Amino acid sequence: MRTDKIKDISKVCHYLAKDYAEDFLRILVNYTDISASEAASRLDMHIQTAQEFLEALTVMGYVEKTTVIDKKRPYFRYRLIRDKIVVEIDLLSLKEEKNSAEGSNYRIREKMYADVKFTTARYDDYIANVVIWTGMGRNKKERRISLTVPQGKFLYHLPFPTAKHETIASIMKKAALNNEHLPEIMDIVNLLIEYESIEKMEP
Amino acid sequence: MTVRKLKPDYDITGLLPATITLILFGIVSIFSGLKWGITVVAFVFILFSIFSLIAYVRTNAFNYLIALFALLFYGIFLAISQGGIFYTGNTQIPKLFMLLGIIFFVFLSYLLISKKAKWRGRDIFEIAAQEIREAENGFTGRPQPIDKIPLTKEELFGFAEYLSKNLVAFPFREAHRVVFVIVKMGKEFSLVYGFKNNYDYRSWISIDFEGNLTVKISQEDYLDYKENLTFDRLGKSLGNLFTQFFYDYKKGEGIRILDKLNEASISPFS
Repeated sequence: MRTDKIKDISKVCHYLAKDYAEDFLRILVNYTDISASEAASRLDMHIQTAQEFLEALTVMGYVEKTTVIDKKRPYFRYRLIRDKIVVEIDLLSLKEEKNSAEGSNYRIREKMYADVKFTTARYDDYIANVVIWTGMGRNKKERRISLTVPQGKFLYHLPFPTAKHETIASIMKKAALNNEHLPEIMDIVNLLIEYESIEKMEP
Repeated sequence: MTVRKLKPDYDITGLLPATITLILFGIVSIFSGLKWGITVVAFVFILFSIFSLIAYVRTNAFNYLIALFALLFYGIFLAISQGGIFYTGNTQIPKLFMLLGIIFFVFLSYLLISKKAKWRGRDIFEIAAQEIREAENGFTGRPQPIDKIPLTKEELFGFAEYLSKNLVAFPFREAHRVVFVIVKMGKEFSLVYGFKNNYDYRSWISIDFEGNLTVKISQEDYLDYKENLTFDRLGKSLGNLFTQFFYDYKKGEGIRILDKLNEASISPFS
């Protein structure tokens, strides 16, 4: 859900960042309604560009589109229906607290035969980075993930592929990590589950 | 100890120094004459005695001191004997060096046969695997935290000294821990001679100053077992073995460590 909101906002920003955006919006504010060809001729741009801009604003709900029957063929006219474009992101909503609280009960361990390499930090007891290989043959790709110290300590205590699954909470306890680090732990755990390097036991 | 868990050891790295010396002797003798052949061997012996000195300084192991003298005396003997380049006509002094060389070589042979000059890596791996019946694999390159043992920094350093002296493990002292590298016979050269001053790709046990014991088994050592033994159990067993070693040392019964390792009945040269 949150990801969708960010996507919507980035879409709005994408169109607002166009060179012609301000002129286009001025036209929309000052005209009762306008067709794509009229806007294009007014702003001296390609009709396809004007059409795309208007369609985007329509999809995002800032503009209303109505079909008008001309003597030749039907076409669309666009009318601004909102006074403001507000871009607001609640950054705290991105925090993984809810998911983390549920996730801390996951029972996990390293997956058997996972195509992954853990590199231990020199002179210390934590994992410094993880290298994951995906794909096969020539399409094989390497992804290196540098870990934060809490993430590295967590993975240091991750049960081995043949050991019993343990809850994230109990692994964190072994790694002497407090709950403040749970969101970043969940982030790396979810990523490694996605890459099939960590195995999650179904409840 | 009946069923061997490790594959037979066909490694010939330990024979390389002798083989290289022999080849050098042959080549130089053919192209430059016997006198130069003997001289080259004398220099190689003296060079190896320097390596033994380095190994002694790094490990404090008695056998390297004996090897140092054996090689040095024999090298000097060859250099000043009748066939050597530094022959002065005196036959008594070369004889003295030969006698000293023989005495030290005999002593070194005794140390080798009695396993006092043996790196105990294979013994350790064999004993650690004895109780493990499952072969579920599960290898991972991650270290495995095993246990926490009560200790003081002094005890840990003393333990490191003891294991090093008796060739049980090669210790690296770090800022907050000691890492004990498990060394198999024939795999010790780069470590003890200081060619490679790290333990990457080797198996090790680390104990930090708070007593946290961690085990890391290298893929090479894991594949040296006949079966893909259940990895976490193997790591735990190895960790427990070292915990036991530490307690034996702490009680002043360090000899029990060597007794235990002798139970593996591995050849003195393996």
